[in-house]
Amino acid sequence: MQSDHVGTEALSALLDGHLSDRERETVEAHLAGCPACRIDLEQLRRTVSLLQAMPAAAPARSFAVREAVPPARVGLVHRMARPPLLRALAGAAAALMVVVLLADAAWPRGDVTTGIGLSSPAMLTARESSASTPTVNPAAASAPPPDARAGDSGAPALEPAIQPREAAPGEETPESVATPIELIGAVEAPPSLAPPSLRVGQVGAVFLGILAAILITASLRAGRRAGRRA
Amino acid sequence: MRRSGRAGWVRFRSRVAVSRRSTSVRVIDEERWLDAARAGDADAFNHLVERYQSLAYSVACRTLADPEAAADATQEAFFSAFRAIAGFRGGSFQAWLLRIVVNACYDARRYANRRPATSMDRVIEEMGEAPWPDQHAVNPETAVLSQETLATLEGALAELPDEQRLAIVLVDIEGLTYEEAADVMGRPVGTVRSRLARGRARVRDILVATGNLS
Ligand SMILES: [Zn+2]
Repeated sequence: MQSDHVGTEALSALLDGHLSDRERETVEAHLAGCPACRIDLEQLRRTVSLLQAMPAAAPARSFAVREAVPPARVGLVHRMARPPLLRALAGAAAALMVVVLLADAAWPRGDVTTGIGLSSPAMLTARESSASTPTVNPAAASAPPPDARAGDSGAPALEPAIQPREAAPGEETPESVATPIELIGAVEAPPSLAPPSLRVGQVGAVFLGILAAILITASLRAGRRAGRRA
Repeated sequence: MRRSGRAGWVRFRSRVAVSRRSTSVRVIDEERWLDAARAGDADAFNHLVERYQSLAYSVACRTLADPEAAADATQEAFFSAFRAIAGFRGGSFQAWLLRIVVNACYDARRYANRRPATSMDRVIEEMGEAPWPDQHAVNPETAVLSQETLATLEGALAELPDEQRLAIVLVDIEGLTYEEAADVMGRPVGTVRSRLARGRARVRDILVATGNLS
């Protein structure tokens, strides 16, 4: 009798009435003469009883679906659209914007030859014209604004153009004076360095600001959605 | 003696699965809603949601041991089910839906396990420190569990292999039959029987070891 106790699976199935008649008769016959198996069975029965008593978790909200469920609700896209990630990206964009603005403000003013001179055209003009007005200024002043891009700074914006001209002193001075048309051509190239690079900083900052705003909006929306779902 | 004893062994199922509360009217309703839902009718599908959401959410809660993650997984499961409803080829809608719910839970758990903070939250919850929402014992036959016993049970369930836990959740906690559970698990009834027995024995051992069962 002790050698052939009832296995757990048979006891468990007995509780659920899931033994065949023959199995059940065998098990019951054994139980009648084996206190150890009866204790096993009783412990299992009480375990099941406790499991059954576990409270049902009632949903706090409805899980109804709406008319059109966008396919992107699940999977990677949905996970990517989690508020923390969007907030992080927004923060990164905002931080980058600040960096660009700081770089803009801190960049050495008048360093036009690098092409990244971001300082105000007026300051540039003041310094440049004092340095090199004697030689080329008349010609530059007489020339029409070479590019609409220099429009907002007007005629003074042409002044930085003088610098590269100075950087090539080996060239014949008469030539530059004698042929104003070629001078205009020479003048035209540098503005494409200085004023546009001025723009890169400001436009970049504006772009980053807009990006940060979009990301923050998206994160708020995703946050509201998560709040609705919770 | 043997007869009267057996009456006590065979447990009384006070918590019945949705399908077994079914009357013919329920079945007819369900067929109609399913047909309309297959044609893309969200309102019809939402009748099914209303009918099954308690069961689905409860299974998710016991599978994930995290009410919020369970709510998310349940919602995702219903979205998935609605998208896939055209491919539902009859049989038990309950089993089909619960399979989706359980898979959504396993997906959510895999995803959460990659994020340490969430895992920690769950560990704390498994220890029973976070309150379970809406605590009301629905089984009048059994005594209300003490907080300690409940926490021990939740911890024991969390320790079980997935299939053993699922068998207990479906049969003992949700009151499905072996056949219904087998349908959800995609396993033969015999497998459900053995997984259930092993899971119960493990839970019993933990209850005895923690002094919750003598
Ligand atoms: Zn025995």
